[in-house]
Amino acid sequence: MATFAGEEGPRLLRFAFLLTGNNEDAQDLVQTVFWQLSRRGVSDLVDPAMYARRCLVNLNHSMGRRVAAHLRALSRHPVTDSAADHAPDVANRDAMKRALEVLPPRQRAAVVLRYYEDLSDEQMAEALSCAPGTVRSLLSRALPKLRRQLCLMDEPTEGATG
Amino acid sequence: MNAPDDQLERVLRRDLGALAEDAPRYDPEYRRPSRSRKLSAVAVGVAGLAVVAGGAVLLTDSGQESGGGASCPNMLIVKGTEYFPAGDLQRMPTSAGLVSSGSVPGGCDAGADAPHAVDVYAMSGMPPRQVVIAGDMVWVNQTFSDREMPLAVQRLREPVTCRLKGAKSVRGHILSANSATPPRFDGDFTAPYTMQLRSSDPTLTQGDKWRWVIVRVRGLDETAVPPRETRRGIFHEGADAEVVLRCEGNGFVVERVALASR
Repeated sequence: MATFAGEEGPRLLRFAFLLTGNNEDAQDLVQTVFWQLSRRGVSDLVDPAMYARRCLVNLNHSMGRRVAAHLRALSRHPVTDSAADHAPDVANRDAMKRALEVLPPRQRAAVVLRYYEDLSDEQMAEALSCAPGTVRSLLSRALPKLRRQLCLMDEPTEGATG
Repeated sequence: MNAPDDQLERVLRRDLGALAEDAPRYDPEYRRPSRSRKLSAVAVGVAGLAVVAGGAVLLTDSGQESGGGASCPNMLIVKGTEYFPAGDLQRMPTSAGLVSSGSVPGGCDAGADAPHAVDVYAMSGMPPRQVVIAGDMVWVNQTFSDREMPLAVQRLREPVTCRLKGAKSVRGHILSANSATPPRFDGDFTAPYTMQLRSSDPTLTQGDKWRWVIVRVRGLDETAVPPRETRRGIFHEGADAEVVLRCEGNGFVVERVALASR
């Protein structure tokens, strides 16, 4: 279990961070998942890493609502001087963080699983404990919201005229 | 896939990856401060009585406030619609009638908890497609984000304010307690402290308006500290406490805590 945690911990923590939007809750989630896995064991699991993601997504659904206030507070923090040199990157990350906040937990998880973890519909369905059709539905509802939040409609696109 | 979708995908892949770089460094020794913090004083103060698992300190039956494994069940399905817990409620509404049956598809550790059926009730004044009550929890349709939570549900999460006329004795269950002073020996617990009391006492629930409420209470002096011989029962064995409360501003102050008579 310690080996598994050592190998998967960093990656799982980044995944948890994208789901929650803050460090403390991400670490809480990951530790709770490892604690649960240590109780049940991982030796019988075909894909322990995928199982861990599923546990994490499920846990986040119930914890997510209680961390919302903290997440909102974080999103209001100004850009620090030290980050000023990377202003465009910081602005992009900040915009992404705020955009993710408007999504319900399942839609947010679907977006992170697809565009960060690069999972297929079938893998996402396993992680989200639902059918592949539901995965597509979650994404199709999430993407228009993200597009609006990220103001992509306002960016010039190739071939645009007038 | 049209051009705007391609653009959105590129932005998502780029910025999610960049955002993930802001994640903290993985620390296998991390000990979960956030949710266990408020429980630690009691747990340490009554050392040997608490269950310590993986660094998380759990009190008995502390419901939504406990640290480690209390996050399940985490999904309710009613006729194909998914609902999620409404979060840390400070008051539980009485149900407005049986709506349907639903299923809880097991916990986070899906191998351990089998799916099971539950009765689903309406919440007064709310359409069941938005909010329902099942198993002493309020559930919200998964399409709601935290920002868009129905107002009636947001109100359930607001702190309960004190409206008592003078000192009143109420019965309840202590969910957590936190002393300002670190314990000096096993069982040590001193004022000032704060605690969370869950109560179905009509004095606090405004008759039958709420099924239960959770009130945040301050204990200011030693007369407000539970007698040592009762702390195990009150803090760790889920025994009911008899608590004398009064108002100070909008807040609750405890004058005395004792083990409730059976």
